[in-house]
Parts: sequence; structure tokens; C-alpha cells
Amino acid sequence: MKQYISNLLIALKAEHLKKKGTGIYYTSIIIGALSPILYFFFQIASDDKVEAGMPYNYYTTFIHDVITPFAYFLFPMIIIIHASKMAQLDHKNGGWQLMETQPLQKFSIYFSKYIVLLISNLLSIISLFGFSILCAFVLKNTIEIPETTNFSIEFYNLSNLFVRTFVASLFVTALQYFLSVLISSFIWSLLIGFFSLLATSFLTSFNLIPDWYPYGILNKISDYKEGSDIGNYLLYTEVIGLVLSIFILTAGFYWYKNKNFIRAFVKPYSKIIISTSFTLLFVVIGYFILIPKQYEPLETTILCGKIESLSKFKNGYLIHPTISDTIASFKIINNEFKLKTDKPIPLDKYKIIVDNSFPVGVIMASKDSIYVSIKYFNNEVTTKFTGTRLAENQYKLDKNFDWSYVSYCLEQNELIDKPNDFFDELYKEWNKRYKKANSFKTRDNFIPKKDFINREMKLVCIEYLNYLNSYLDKRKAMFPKDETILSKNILEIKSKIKLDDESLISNESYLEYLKHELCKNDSRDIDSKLKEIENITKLKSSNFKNRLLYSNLKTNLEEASSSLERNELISNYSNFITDEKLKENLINQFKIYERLGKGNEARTIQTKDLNGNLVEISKFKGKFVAIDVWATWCGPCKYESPYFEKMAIKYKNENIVFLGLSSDQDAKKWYLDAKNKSKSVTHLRLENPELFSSDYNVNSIPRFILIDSEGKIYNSNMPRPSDSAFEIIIRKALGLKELE
Amino acid sequence: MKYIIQTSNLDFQYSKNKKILNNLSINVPKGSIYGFLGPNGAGKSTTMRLLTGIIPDDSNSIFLFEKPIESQIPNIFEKVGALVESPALYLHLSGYDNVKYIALLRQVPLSKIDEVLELVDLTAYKRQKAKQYSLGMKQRLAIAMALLSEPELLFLDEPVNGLDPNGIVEIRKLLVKINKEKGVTIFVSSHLLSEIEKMCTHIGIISKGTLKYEGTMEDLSRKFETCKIQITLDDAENWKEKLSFKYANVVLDEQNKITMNLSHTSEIPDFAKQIIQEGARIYEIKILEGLEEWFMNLTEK
Repeated sequence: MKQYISNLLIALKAEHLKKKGTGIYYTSIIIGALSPILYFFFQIASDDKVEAGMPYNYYTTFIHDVITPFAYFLFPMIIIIHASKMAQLDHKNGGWQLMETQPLQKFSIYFSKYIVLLISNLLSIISLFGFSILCAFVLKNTIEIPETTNFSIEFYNLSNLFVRTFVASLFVTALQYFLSVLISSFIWSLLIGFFSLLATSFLTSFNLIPDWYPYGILNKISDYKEGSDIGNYLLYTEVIGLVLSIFILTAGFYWYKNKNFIRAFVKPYSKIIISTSFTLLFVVIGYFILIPKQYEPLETTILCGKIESLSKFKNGYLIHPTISDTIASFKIINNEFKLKTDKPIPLDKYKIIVDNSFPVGVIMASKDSIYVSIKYFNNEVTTKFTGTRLAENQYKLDKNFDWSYVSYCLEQNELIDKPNDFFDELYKEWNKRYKKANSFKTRDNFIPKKDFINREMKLVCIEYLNYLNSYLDKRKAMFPKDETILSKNILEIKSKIKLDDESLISNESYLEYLKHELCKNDSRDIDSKLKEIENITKLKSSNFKNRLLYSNLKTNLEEASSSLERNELISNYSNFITDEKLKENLINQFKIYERLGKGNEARTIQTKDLNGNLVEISKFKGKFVAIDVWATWCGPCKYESPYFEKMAIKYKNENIVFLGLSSDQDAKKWYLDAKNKSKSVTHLRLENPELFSSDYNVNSIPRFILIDSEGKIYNSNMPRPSDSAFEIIIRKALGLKELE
Repeated sequence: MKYIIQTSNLDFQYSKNKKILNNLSINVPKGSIYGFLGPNGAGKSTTMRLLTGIIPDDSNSIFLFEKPIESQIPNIFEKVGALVESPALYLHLSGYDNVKYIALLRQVPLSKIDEVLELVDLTAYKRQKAKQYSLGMKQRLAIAMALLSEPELLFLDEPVNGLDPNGIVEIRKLLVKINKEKGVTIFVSSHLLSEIEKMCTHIGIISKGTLKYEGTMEDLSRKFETCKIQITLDDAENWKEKLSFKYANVVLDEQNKITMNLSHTSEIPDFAKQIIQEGARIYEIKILEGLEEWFMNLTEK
């Protein structure tokens, strides 16, 4: 062993002499430095202002930005070129034979060159990191950087990325080296290398790249710069790369040593056994690495997490997506929470509401254990989920947008006269998407559970069935006399979706499909909303019916324009809901809408002004009060506030006051923002935002409310001031002439 | 007698149908300069590659230092120097670095590099890149690389190929010198007998993969003691009669050509001097049957 190593070291030393003047190490360093330096100049030249968003680490972010071109193209390219160059040094002029007539182990000959390649890889990566830190350091003083930015060097993260990049390069280096040694003409190894490299990006879009594809492993470095979700040091693609590099190095070495395939692996026949079992061993190892993993269900349901933020939070709620019912509430202590429940929770996308400040969507079901890490800074929220629904919570994020020919046809009214062609296209596209639904994997090789995938597949069906329905509607309108016969393929899609699937009831598209299906034989010429409700009431009594009717009535209550309309909805249909709890919920909603109806007493609102004095809204009695509910972190609010201010200025001499009512927790932030706004609007901050939002049913902001001079509600949900209807209502309330 | 290289019935083929080497048994005694002769394509280079282990021999019929070669690779190269694919050089490196490369691999002190470059007369060019060398310089550099570690056995494949006459003479001198002084056994291949005849102690002749002749140089010279020559001169008839007294088999070929036998090739200069003194007007003296002719006959068949 010792002898092998000293022999290898001698060979390595000689290789270094031999590569003199080839510039292999220099080009490695240049390639590594290229993207940081280019990025540096790009940053200096660009005028983009950086928005103060989520705080980030300056150096880590810089390296994350520059590693993409490196990992995708520059690095693999230089590996391919250098592998070929190292082999060519000896392919030219009989170098291999010269080495073989020296006291050198073949092992040393083969591996000394590979080690030179690894050193050059290492230099490239060191150069990338080194130049990044250097460029970032210089850049720090020349560009504007948000003050929340962290300037420390995150040693663990960066060293992890460094090691991962190096490990990811092993396989492609070993493979290119193997090819370059095997094929004496340099052109072939280069061609194969570049072709395979280009094929990576091309094939990725068709989802045809296996995880072990040597030229794709480095891409994962750029795709998943932060590394493993579950705390592994390496991603599974890097592990498979490492394993396969050992395989290809061993195979390549024996091939080289014995000069041809037959002598290396087949003859004498005892070698077959060795080479087959060796290959088999790697197939088995590879299989275990590549087999997708899934989490097992637990005994109870656990939801826990941590919030990183400058503010402290107290209460959290887990909310149902359709009924907006609170499933569970929990205390947040030191910005950490843990919820344990045995309640049955069907699979769906739920909301975690943190102190009425912001919602976080979470896909979960009973017997899941989920950890969520939330960052909340400068009114931006980022979340990271781990636990049993790891893959599910990442699922949508990864789906790249597909251009749909079917939806294009519908938009352009094409193929309306050729139903069979349309059906074929629809089926083809559906089939592709349907299959793709099952292809998602996380960076750590976790796949979503069966229940989730089934649901996703159903959603694909629904999407295409909705296309189908709108097609059929169009066709009916354009060719009323022609009958359309659905093809067998289309019926196959239809058969996959039942009309009483409770698990899908929270999904808008499913409701759309359902309503269409329920009403399609009802040709009465009445309000389509009422038609839908009536058809739902005709269904057989079931939990499904209850839920469906509930969500439909709730939407209609919200959209109703008068108390009369709301009363009719409730008295005519609410008794069809047999679930008492749902019914009660609906009635409560109804009562809130009624209470907020025109002419009802407006509940008092307690606020503080800019000087910190307590102010009650009732103070403004005698005048109309227009309220803009906003917060410093709310983007759409910022868009509306100039329009609101414009109104305030225009009507400042009328009997009306304009109030800017902020729901901000952070008084300082609010103060700074409010101070800079127009003086024509009176700025106040809510003392108890939670009470206010339940009193006035505020589920989202911006929200505009008009209270009349007697302290009664005039309109509890005004159009936005950017909409001209806002002004029309104001003028009407003030008894002013209509605008022309 | 100790044979430093020995093959017993060595067969070799790349593909099934075509045998490159057929039943080749060669014996190279220690301390000899063994000339391995044969026309291009006879299998010389293949034999070289087999003897140096570049091509693995599955039949285990090659012995170096009286042991099977397979078991000794690669350590055997500590005492074996080889110039196989001539000239195997790194053209992007200087002459000095090429030798240094070997010095590193063989762990020879770097001071030896200048010595060996001096030996092949390349000291003045040692900083130049090998790609700028002439063919002869490349050849000499390759020899320097083979000689560097003072091997006990030296394989040289066509070492004088492409050299000018002076160069050939110098290489020959060099090889004889290291053979005499250091006792290095040299196995040298060539396709021209005349190139190496003067320095070899032993000769093996190969043609189409089979060994046609093997023996010492002395045996061979003895075999060609008489020498048939043809003289072109004026007044041939008279001279034929005059010469018949002294020499055997004097025949008048044509009007001005006589063939006759001398006892040895080495007699030709004296013979020529003598008859010129006697007044002969000679246009040409040609050897009709000698070592070269015999070699040609042997390998052409």
C-alpha cells in the first residue's frame, strides 16, 4: 500500500512536470474567476435599486448569484476540455508507451492524471469562491445595500457548497477522462462531452434526464444552492455521482490496464463473474440511492415551527381553506409554536394565520408531522417546510409553466368547428400533464404521498374538463344545431372525476366544473347563481352537499348588494344545510353582513394618533367618515393611497373626513410612513386590530369603509378609490350632483 | 550461458486470422549487442512491444532476466531502458524537461541529466522545445532518455532511423562504448543490415513473423569468407587470363566484365590497388554475393 502511494506520488510529480506550459491550472483559475468578475462589473454598471426585503447574507448571496453560470456551463466545459487535454499529452507521440516502460504501476499512471484533473477542478472552485469574496468585498463599498444585510462569512454554508460542487464534479470528470483515455482522437471525447452537456438543458425540459446523468449532477448545485432540506451534507444526486465515479474509475482503470474490453472484463472467464458482480453491486447501491423516499404517517398530527422576525408574535390559528373555520389555535412563545391534535384533518391546503398579521399556506392532513420555518421581515414572508409533507409543500413551486395549445385554441376560437381535432389535442395535452403530475421529487429524493398525487392528478383532469366545458359552451353558441359527441378519450377523463368528491371541495376549479355539470341540463333563463344554488339543493342530502351549498351561499352572501338579497338567500336555502355547525357558521356570516349593512350602527373603533393620543372614531360624528384600512407592509395599499389622498384633497371643504387607519403592529414604522403622507388624510393606528377586523369583517386589506354623519354604516365595503365608483358613492352620500 | 532475453515459441496475433509472430524463439545473451533485423512489417515492433510488456503476452513465453516478464512489470524497468515508439517525446517540453521527466519517474539524481545530454551532444539545445528539434536530435534525445538510469538492458527500436551518416556513426560508437564500459546488454532493431552489422555481436533475422536466422556475428562472417565480385574494366579478355593464375573461378561475363572469387570481402581494397598498379582501367567493382545479398535473399522469400 505504502509502495502504491509513493509510486503514485512519483507519477503525480512527473505529471506536473509534463503539464508544464499547457496552462491547465491557469485556465482553471480563470474559468473560476470569470463569473464573479463579470458579475462584479455588471453590478457596478447597473442602476437597479435594491428593495429592502428579506435580510440576506451578502457574501453567500453573491456566491449563489455567480455559481449558476459556473455550474451549468463553465465548469463542466473546462472539465471536458482538460480531461481531453490530459489524455492527449500522452496520445501524441506515444507517451503512454513511454510511461509503460518506466517503473510505474499502471495504477499510478491512470490515477495520477485523474488527480491532476481533480486538482484543477479544485482550483477552479477555489478561484470562484475566492474571487467572489474579493469582488463582493470591493463591491460592498460601491453599491447600495440594504442595512439589514448580514456581512459575516457563513463558513458552514459556504464550505458545504464548496464540497458539494467538488463532489458533483467527480463523476463527469471520471467519465470524460475515461473517454479521453479510451479514444485516442481528441475530437470524439470533446464532441461526446459537449453534446451531452448541451443535451442536458434540452432534455431537462422534456423531463428525460435521469438523476444519475453525469452532466446533470452539477446543475443541481445551481438549482439547489442552499443544499439539503433535511440536513444531509450532500444531495442524493451528489451521492450517486460519487458512487458512480468510483465505478467508472475502476472500470476505466481495468480497461486501460488490460488494453481492451475482452481482456479486462471477459477473458479468462472467471473475470466475467468478478466484473458482473462488481457491476451488480453498483446497480444495487445505485438503486437504493435513487429509489424515491416517502414519509410514513405518524400516530398524531403535529404542526410546529419557528418564526424569525423582529416582532414578537402571540397567537396562531390553523384555518380551513373553504369554511375559514378555525381548526385549532395555538400559543406562540418566543416565536416558536407547537400544535398537537387528534382531530381528523383531510388533506388540503390550510392556512396558518400568525397574529392576524400574515397567512402561511400549508398542505397537510391527519397524522402528519410538519415543521415550518417562517421568516418575516420587512413585510415579506418566506417559508420552508420539512417533515412528512416536505415534497407536497414544494410541489407547485417547481412546476414550470407549460404553454397550452388547448387554452390558446379557446382564446382564439379555433377548432370550434372541428370537435374531434380539439378532443384529440385536449387528450394529448391532458395525458402529458397527467403523467407529469407524478414526476416531482425534492432535492433529497422525497416524493409526495399517494393521496396528494391522486389529488393533483384529479386537478389536472378538472383543468382539462373545464377547458372542455368552455369549448362545449362556445360550440353550442356558434353551432346551436350541431350535436357534439364526446370521444372515448374524453369520456375517459370525465370518468376520473366524480361529482361528489369531498376532498376537492376547496378547489375553485372543481367547483366551477361541478356547477357546470349540475346546471348543464337546466335551460331556464334565470340568474346563473340562483340556478347553481337550486341545482345543488336538488342533490341528495350528504356532507358533500352541505359543504358545497355552504361555500356557494357564503360567496353569494358576500357578493350580494342588498339586505333583501341576503335575507332571501338565507330564508330560501339555508335550511338545505343539514350540518348544524355549518349552518350556524353561515348564519353568523349573514349576521355580520347584516350588521355591516347600510344604516346599522357602526361599532366604535379605538385608535391612537401620530402623537400617541387616544382617539375614538365616534369623535367625528356629524361628518361623513371615509376610512382607508392599510398597513406599511401592504403593496396594494400603497397603490391605492394616492387615489384616496386625491379624494381627500378634492372634498376637503365638504362635510367629510378622510382617515388612514393602519393595522401596523410596529408603531415606529407606521409613524415614519404616515408622516410622509398627505396632511389632508388624518392618520390613526388601530389599538386593537383583531377586534376591528372581527367587528368589520376585514379579511384583507386595503379595505374602504364609509360611515355617515350619524355614526351609521353607509357602505362597509367600498370599491377601491382607483375605481371611479368610489367617488360616485361619496358624492351620492354627500348629496352632491352627479359627475358628468 | 545466461540469456537476458528469452522467448520460447512466442506466438502473437491481433486478430484470429492473421498471425503477426509465429513460433518465435530468440535468445539474447547477457552482455551482447543483439541486432534484430527484418524488413518493415516483419514483426519487429510487435516483438519489441511484447518484450517491453507494452502489449501483454497471454502465453507467458517471454523471459527477461530468466523470469517471466508478467510478474516483473513495472519494477523491472528500474534496470531496463527502452526506446520503443521512436521517438516518444513530449514535444511541448524542452529537451532538458523531457529527460527530467524520466529522472523524476526513475528517481535518478537531476545532476545526471546534463551528463546524459552531453553524451548525446544536446547540451547546447537543452532549453529548446523538443518540437523544434530535427529528427536526428529527437532520436538522440530519446536515446538519452533511455540511457539515463544506466540500465542493464536497453531496448532500442530503429535508433538510427533518419540519422545522417555522421550521426549513425556516433550512435554506433556510443552504444559500443556503453556496452563495453558498463556491460549493458543492447537489443537493437533495424531494417538495414549495414546500419548495425558493424557493432552487433549477435544477430537475429525475422521475416513475416518467423525467425530466419539467429547466431553470433562471427559465425556469420565465417559463412561468407569467400566473396564473389564483378569487375568492369577495359581490355577484359587480357585481364581474365592474367587473373586466372592467381584467383579461382575467373569468368568473362561480357565484353568488359569479369566475375571472380576472393577469399574475403576485406581483400577487395588491396586487390583493387594491386591491379590498378598493374595498369588496369577499372570502372566498377561490385560484390555479387555477400552478407547483404544473403540477407536480402533470406528476407524476400
